[in-house]
Amino acid sequence: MIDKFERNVIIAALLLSGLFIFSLFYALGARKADVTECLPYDKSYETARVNQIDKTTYQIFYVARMWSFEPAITYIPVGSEVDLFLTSQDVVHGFDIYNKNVNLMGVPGGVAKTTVRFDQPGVYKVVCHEFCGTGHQNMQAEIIVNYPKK
Amino acid sequence: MQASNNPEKFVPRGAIAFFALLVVLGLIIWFGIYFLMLSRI
Repeated sequence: MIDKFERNVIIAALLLSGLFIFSLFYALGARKADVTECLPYDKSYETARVNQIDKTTYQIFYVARMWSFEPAITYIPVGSEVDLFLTSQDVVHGFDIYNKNVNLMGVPGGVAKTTVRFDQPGVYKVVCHEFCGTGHQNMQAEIIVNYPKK
Repeated sequence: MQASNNPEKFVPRGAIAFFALLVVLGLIIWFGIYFLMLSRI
């Protein structure tokens, strides 16, 4: 016969695990949280560029290298949905957009992809958050979302 | 207050309270980060 305290702890652990799993699916489903993807590598990802698909849909192909991101500054309108692709030409770099739910790793020979929506105007700073050498602290970029507001 | 010497009636109230506090702390930290990330989508 199982001890009653042990039984209660097992029930509490199962309930908590269920709550966490439900919360994850809620974020993915109802709130449309994006999960970072790793894409098959292709040399074309090493060419930094911005593609406009339609009025509010963009693709930004970032290339990270010691110690800068390219494109360093990107202008997009408010309400844009942006597919971000990231690769690195030398070492592993981080890619974090301040105040957005974006956290990528730039790996040489690999491509990370995520989708992010910019509903508020502003200057969104991008920083490298993986130590990559002596110029690491200066490695940043900007995504300027219709700022100042038109 | 004198502790009971009868092991059959012993209830680890302190351990239960400490465990419950740890669970609550874990929930606060986990859901704090969870809702912060949801607000940044």
